[in-house]
Amino acid sequence: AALPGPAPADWAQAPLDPAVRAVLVGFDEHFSYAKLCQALRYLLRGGPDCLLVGTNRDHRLPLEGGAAIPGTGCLVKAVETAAQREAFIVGKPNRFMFDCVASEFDLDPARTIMVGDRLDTDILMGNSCGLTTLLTLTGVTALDEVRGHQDSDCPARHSLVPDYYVDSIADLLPALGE
Amino acid sequence: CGGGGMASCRRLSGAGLREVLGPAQGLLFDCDGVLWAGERAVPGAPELLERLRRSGKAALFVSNNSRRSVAELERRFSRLGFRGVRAEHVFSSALCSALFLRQRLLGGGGNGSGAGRVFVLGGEGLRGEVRDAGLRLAGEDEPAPGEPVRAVLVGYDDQFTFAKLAQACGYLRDPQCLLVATDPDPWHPLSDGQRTPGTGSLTAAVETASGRKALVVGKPNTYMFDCIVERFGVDPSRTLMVGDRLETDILFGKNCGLATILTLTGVSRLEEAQAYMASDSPAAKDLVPNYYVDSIADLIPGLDE
Repeated sequence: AALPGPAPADWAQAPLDPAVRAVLVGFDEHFSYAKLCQALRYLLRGGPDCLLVGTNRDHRLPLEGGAAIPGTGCLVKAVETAAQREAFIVGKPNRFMFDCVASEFDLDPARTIMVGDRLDTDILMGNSCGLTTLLTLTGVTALDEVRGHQDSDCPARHSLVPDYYVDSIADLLPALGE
Repeated sequence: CGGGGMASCRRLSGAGLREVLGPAQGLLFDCDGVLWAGERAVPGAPELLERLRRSGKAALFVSNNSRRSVAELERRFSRLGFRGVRAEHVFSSALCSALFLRQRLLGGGGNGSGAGRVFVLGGEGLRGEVRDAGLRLAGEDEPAPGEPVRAVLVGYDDQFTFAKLAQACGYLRDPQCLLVATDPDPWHPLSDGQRTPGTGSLTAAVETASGRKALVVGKPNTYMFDCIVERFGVDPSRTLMVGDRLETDILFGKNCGLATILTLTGVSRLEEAQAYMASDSPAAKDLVPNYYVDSIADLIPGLDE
């Protein structure tokens, strides 16, 4: 519903939908202060009875040439900061999505490989779920980043280290014989 | 006034009032929730300022609100019944952010050319303060060669959009481009008890997207006190900080070496101060005020007739 008036004091008077019981933050290229206001109002009205859920925490979505656009994680952080509470994040590295896949397709983690380009989402989820993890270097991660985690004293960083890596997933082709 | 040891959140009244206010040369006041709430002055607040003036004590104002220029704030004081408050007494995060950027981009006060531009996420009040400091804003006029965007300033921006967030991130790819925030406040109260998101929530979005940490001008950081000292030369040991928000005003007072008075007409509740006092966390004790009052009108009996 359209918000009355041009200012936050007006927006705070717009009627709230009594049926709303969750605020879901996803990628929103039309994110605005007005929407952030409404999210905050629902969360304050509902307290713990109103869920705050984020689809993922990605900071940036890379574009060609090194540029990037802000990721969903930025919008989640804005809502979390205003509401002073933490969102439940559905996406990687949280295992929720793996559980969805595993229940639908009867996967055996010991015989499943997770392939991804991001250490703190793809590889971390794979490692947490007991999968074999394979890093491909065609995306955001460079190999020296992995070495850094490997050499670190911090055990949490070791969870970001993949079992294997390839320069590109095309490198897997020779292993799949005719 | 001032000084070490843990604060004990004592109610100020009677003889205690005179003991604390007597030696003070001046008071720093936060504005929202202390002097006024929305369009209503806190009852007795204008009289308190008048009595301070008659007692020869200074009253200065330090606000994290980055919406208004100090000229607008001067008019607001007058409209709400406060006499004799001039723009030069008012230190808003908008003004101090502009002063900070002027220092960093123009050095000691050089001319504007080659200094670069500032991309401002905020309203006209904030933009005006940045212009008044001699800086040029991104998106206004044709940029001359050699005028890259040298700073992104995040303030209270009720017209914030994803597009502006993306634009800010583009500028911040240059590591020479500063990221500055007017204040860290996560939300502000509205007069009906609801809340509106604050600069802190927008800054969190920009920090996450850019991978950078913002330099935060406002309370509890001490830059605004540096601006006050530069202009008026106050002695922290003879100055009291009066505010309504423990995490900004009281911590600011502590960080600047000021004794602090919490007033209960705004954001923080007495129970929160008491909880910080009872907490084992070392950081929590810095959020405990030395004193509290129900309203700043309660300070009046501590001043000479």
